[in-house]
Amino acid sequence: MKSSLLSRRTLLTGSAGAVVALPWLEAMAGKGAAAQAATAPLRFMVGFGGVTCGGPSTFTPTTVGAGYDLKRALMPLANVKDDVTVVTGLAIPPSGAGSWGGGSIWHASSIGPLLSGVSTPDNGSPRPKGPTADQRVADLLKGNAKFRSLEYRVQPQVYREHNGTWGIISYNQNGNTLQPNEPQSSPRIAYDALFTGFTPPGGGTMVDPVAQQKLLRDRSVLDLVKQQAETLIGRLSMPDKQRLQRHFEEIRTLEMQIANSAQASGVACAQLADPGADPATNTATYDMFDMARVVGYSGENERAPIMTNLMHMAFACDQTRTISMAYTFAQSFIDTQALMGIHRTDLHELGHGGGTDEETADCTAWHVKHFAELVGLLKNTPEGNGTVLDNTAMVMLFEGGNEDPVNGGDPHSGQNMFALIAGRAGGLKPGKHIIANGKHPCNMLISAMQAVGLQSDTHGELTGKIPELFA
Amino acid sequence: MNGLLRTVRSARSAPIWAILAVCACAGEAGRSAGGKPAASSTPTPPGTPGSTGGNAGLGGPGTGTGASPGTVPTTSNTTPVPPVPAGLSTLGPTAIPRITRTEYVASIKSLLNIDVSGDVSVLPPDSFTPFDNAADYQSPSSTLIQGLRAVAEIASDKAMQTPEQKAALVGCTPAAANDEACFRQFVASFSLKALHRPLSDAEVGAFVAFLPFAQQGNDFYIAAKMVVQAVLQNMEFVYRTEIGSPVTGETDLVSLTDWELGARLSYLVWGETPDAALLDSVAKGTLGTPAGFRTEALRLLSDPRGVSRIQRFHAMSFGYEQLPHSASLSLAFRTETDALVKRVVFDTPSPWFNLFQSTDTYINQELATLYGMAAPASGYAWTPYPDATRTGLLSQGSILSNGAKGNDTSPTRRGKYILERMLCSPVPPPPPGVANTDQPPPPVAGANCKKDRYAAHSTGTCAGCHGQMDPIGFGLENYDLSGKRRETDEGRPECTITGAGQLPTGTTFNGPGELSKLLVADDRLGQCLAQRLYEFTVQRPLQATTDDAALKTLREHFNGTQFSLRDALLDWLGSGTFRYRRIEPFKAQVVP
Repeated sequence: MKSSLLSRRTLLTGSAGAVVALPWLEAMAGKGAAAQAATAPLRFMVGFGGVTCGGPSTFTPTTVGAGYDLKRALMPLANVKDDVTVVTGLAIPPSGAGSWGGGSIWHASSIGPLLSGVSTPDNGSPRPKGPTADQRVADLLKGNAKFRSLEYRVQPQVYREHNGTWGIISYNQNGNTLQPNEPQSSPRIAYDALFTGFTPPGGGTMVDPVAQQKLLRDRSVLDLVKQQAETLIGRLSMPDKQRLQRHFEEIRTLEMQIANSAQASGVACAQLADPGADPATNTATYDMFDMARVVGYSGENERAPIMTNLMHMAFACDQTRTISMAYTFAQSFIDTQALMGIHRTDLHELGHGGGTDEETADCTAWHVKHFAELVGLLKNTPEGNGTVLDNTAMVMLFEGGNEDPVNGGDPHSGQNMFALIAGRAGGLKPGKHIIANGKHPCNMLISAMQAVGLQSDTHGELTGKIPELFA
Repeated sequence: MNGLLRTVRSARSAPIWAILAVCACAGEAGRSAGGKPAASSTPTPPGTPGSTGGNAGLGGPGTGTGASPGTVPTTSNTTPVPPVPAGLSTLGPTAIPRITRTEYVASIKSLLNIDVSGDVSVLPPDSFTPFDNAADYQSPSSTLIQGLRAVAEIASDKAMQTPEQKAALVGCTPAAANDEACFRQFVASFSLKALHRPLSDAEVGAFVAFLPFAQQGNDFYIAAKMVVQAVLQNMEFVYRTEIGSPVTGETDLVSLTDWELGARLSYLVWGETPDAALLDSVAKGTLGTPAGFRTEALRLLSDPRGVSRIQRFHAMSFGYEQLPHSASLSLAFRTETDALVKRVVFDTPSPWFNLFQSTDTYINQELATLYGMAAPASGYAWTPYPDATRTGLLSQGSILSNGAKGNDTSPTRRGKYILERMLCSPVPPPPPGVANTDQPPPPVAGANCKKDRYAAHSTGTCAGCHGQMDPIGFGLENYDLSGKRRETDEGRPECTITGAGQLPTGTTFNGPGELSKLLVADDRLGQCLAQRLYEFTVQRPLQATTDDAALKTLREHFNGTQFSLRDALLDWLGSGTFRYRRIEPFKAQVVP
């Protein structure tokens, strides 16, 4: 069986003539555990929470180093404390390298500095001027995984103030073009993308004839859609073609993904239960204080665990090695009563005095909880001699920090930020609290990128890993 | 002249066309040549005759209908030659736009008679800039492709649940599960509506690959659903692929085909696919004539869908598309403002500025109570304002809802709103180094009234910009975020609101009535309307210099119609440049 798998690992030709590659197989590493560990795939994950954290006292551990204590915003780390390092005292400067522009409107203006290490354009645009960390490592890591990278988001809608780009945290540099990677926020579609044509390891084939028929129809439809797109693209002028080329390429990619069933690998790999229909997306107006507000809630509490499980299996089954996850939009207007059971306002207003510092911490903790659950799942997923988490670097970033209440108390700033890093890829040694003394959050990403093998000490305008993360 | 051109064309004398096109660029001499070429018996695109060797550079032969080479739809298209439009050389560039969520829902309603508004959340959210259609935000992604596929599947299921639905949609009764004639007929008719052009026989034939699935399942509608899915994922449905045909002597200018022109008009005025009548006018060749075009444009604009589109244009322009109030109050505000827009633009087309000067407003009991006005006997009614402190748009809750900070009005944000949304005069961001607290100024010892707190803005580096914004906002302070009159600060009865406001010019005013007069007297108000209409049409923000001439032309149409939005729009669309497209260069890195 092993030898047959090994021979099949060379490129296969699928039914539509497309070339498909099998994912990384434990078999490739040979039987020896050491060999397995040496060739196990490395994974990279970056998470983002659209919350400006509350006062530093709600998250900063008193203890520095190992055995740190958990304050309110970090309570969900209890079970994975030894696998996660908390870095406090991070800052995005108002000017200089990786700055947020100072004069620009805070919120999405942190996306560029945080994820790409580039300064925000003068107009406060949420669009980075350079590739994000996940996209810089995606090609390096991809190997034979089905997806070059996955981009997910839990919050499906903007809810208020109308800017879809405020929920995009992944940008790919493709030649001269910087392409935004719109995240997938439908658990339904994300599930189908991951598990259509999926064959769990150790046998088990798709036997449902109804599903099989549907797959055949889907392939036929997509085949025609692709043909028509190809014809159209060929008729476009060069500028139009450049603009729409990716549409065609994504059709082709999807067609290849569903045209061939892929053998999954990984000892803990399993097909997840079907999540069913997506929870409904909702915005509603509620009376808050003395006036009504538009807030939104789309069942994020149900969506987040599904997405977490999908990320887990995407790694465990080696369907991808790079994931970015925007848990919430920048300046999220998510309904905090529906989300956390605290009084009705939205996540953004909470930081403006719409709630207490503790309540803000609780909403930060909502993001920490889902990140921690993924850490826990990967930690419990055996791989080779260790676990998937041992071969992973994960970073969790937040939109903003909180200025010193004594000096101003503005909840919207690049000061007093914290971030989390988990996993043991590349010699990362998690499980401690580090005070960064004004280092940029992007230095965390540089560390994580190096941990998965990027041979570069810079990201955007910033340079240098945080050595303590490896010590 | 028509006869001459017809002769020229029939002789396939390409250089003549090229010469005529060059003359056209030279001005008056070419006025009879036109961007629309000679009449023809087929919808062969303008410009094709001028293309080299009979093989058009962009798209090849047959681009006129988008049909594959060698296939010719059977529709006739006898079109007189319109005059060469003035201003073609200054036409601003546009990109190929993608269908917005709103347009998607409307098009699906029109095509399939179903509502997918609850299903489109899987499509990437649109960005409001202030319009939801800016092409620079419409980057393709795997999420887009997956979302389009998912909604197409849902739509195909919803559209064919009952026998009545199936019969109405397919339009023929299949004699068998694999009835190819009926199937082809459905493919052709549905594609025509969705892709706004006829498919060639070969293109229709490609769908026949779906029929074996119908036969296998012994159900014709298995294949019919696959047709719907494929068409809704077709890039020509998802994008308005304006390929056109080249205009000789111009490297980046194309003349749209009549089919493309119909789609452009329909998506601009209705925000959805062309209806049967519009497609018919394309097929008959009437849309390509100035008179025919104007007739169709007026028909579309006067249709409830056109009215609704113009109302939404205003809602996005002035930021009340999503109101921060209870459902009932939000609906009442929207009803009030929509009624005013409809009256000024359509019912009795009049100067657009009447939006700001109306002395009555369309309210119900709820709004009457809120505004402190006499309530109508029942439902909604036009009700006169008691005095001149309130007039027009600026007195309405939908406008006054803007400029909130926290739970209260922010004079800064209200001032910024007036300057940016009404006058298109952006306020620069705070200079580097100035802390942008995104917070209202904190209370200062002994002076907790809003006026005192905002006094901090009027000194030092803040004063330059805040001096422009804050005094405007203070002139509206007597009206809270729902448009209710108030005499003191929220929760501070000791803080009397004077309502004294001032424009950056130094002119003072008090309240929405007086501010309206000042805005109407300000040339920038009309200029801003023209700019927004232009931006909405070209689906991108105005580009300084490049668009100056085009904007000036549009402004002249406003001046020529005493600023009737309806008539100016009709004149502008009919002026001839509307059927041309200057291809926007590709921007590798978009940072809007």
